[in-house]
Amino acid sequence: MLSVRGLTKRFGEFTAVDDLSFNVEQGQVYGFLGQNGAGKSTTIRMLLSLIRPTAGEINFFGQSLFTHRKEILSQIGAIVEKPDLYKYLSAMEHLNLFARFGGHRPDPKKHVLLLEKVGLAQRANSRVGTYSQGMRQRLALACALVNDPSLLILDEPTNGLDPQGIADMRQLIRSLCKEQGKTVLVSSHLLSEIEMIADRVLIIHKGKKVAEESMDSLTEKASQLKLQALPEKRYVLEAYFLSLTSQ
Amino acid sequence: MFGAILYTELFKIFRRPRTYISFGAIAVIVLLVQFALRVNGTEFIRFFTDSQADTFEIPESQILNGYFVCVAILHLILIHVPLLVALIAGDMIAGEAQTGTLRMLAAQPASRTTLLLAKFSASTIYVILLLLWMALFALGGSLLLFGQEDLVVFRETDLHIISQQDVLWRFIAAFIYAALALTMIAALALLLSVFAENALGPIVATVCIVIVFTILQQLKVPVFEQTINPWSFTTHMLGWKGFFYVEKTSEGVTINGSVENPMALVRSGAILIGYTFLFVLVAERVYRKKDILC
Repeated sequence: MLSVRGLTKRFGEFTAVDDLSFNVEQGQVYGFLGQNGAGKSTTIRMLLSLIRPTAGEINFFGQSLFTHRKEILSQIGAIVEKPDLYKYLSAMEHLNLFARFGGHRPDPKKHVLLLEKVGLAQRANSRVGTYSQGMRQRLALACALVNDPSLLILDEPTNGLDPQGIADMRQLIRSLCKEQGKTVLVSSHLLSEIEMIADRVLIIHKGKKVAEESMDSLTEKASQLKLQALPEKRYVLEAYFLSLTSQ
Repeated sequence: MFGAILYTELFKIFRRPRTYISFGAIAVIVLLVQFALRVNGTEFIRFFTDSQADTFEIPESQILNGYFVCVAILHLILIHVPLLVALIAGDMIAGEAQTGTLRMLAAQPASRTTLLLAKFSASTIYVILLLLWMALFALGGSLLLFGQEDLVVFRETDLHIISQQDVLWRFIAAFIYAALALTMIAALALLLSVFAENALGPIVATVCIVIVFTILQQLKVPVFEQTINPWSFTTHMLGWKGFFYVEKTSEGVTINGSVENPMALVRSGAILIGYTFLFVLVAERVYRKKDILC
């Protein structure tokens, strides 16, 4: 589904992403972890062709992003960092707009169902300027889903959501993956959230890959660490993450 | 794909309340000028005809007609319309970068070139609608309020009298020419917008560039008259006035359907189109390769 090889991005002397390689398989929820400034957002921007890599290859669905950008991006839905939307437009107008951007004719019935799925049907025609941050996050997810993509790239999708919103988002990501066979690449600083939904996890630190494991393998490795000092042993991913990135 | 994106860009422009400030401002200014000329029109005409008043009698009531008022309005406000155009075109890329929506747009399947050209086309359509609105108020409204007569145009110590049957096409040509000039301003604002991540910067920069070149033009000193001014876009932006300068026979009789210097008008139009292409081309080259970090 997604294959990244030797991906590097330098801003002058500073190397934001350094020789990063990983694979995402179809139907997986792939967790993407790293501390603030580790290079997660830069990587995601390169995957969405917002930033040109200094070096490396990005292939989606067996095709290079650099030569098949249009075909590839028409199969991807994304949220990049804090989703900023058009405050003077309603949720329905946003979905119409993004449907057209994807080359589709707006389908009001489908859009209402989508807004029901993300819990915004009651406010479908209210201007986004009146929405809370959590509601904007939900609408951004609906915009990412409007063209029925096979791959979702979600950068911090739970930002600004209340506990119920986080639980709903978790449930939605799981159902998209399990029931609709979609692949989800999700970055988050909420390690416990990633632990609950991811099949496989990539951890980067200072732009470099420090681990790429399935959750099962990671749980096994983490159990070999000295976790006794941690008050909550169930946060396996947190313990493993800290052991890799706090050096 | 281009059509769909152009539609969404126009939809965004005309759903934004601030777009209508420009339309409102033009309506208010035109109505104020019409009101002023209705009340003090005779004094206004005397101000221009002082030098000729000793030579022959000036029929102020005939001069003050709808066509004359429209030309006066165009002289007064066309020079300020670039600000209204910059408000929209300067916001096109930089405004979206500032609000964070640019990254959502740039992650869509449409190429950046398509997106930029759609934004430029939307700005051009906005310019045309703004001028149509101005024509409705300035020409339509003035004809309604002041009636139709021959048009008298004052030019330094000379008078150009254009019969009313020969006037309408000149206004249409002048508005088309103004659309060319303002589209060039939209292209300049869009170019500056590509470099910025804050909408205010390109709007202010566009207006400053227009002001600087206008001052250089008004200085009328040889050092600028022979070097910058012949190529400065502000010189050619005022070319619309040329449609109201008519050719005369050796006996001083106006030739219907003529303009004094048609080649100068063609040259000015070509320079404006050239600048527009240049600005859009550079904007496209820069935006296509730009890293979207905001």
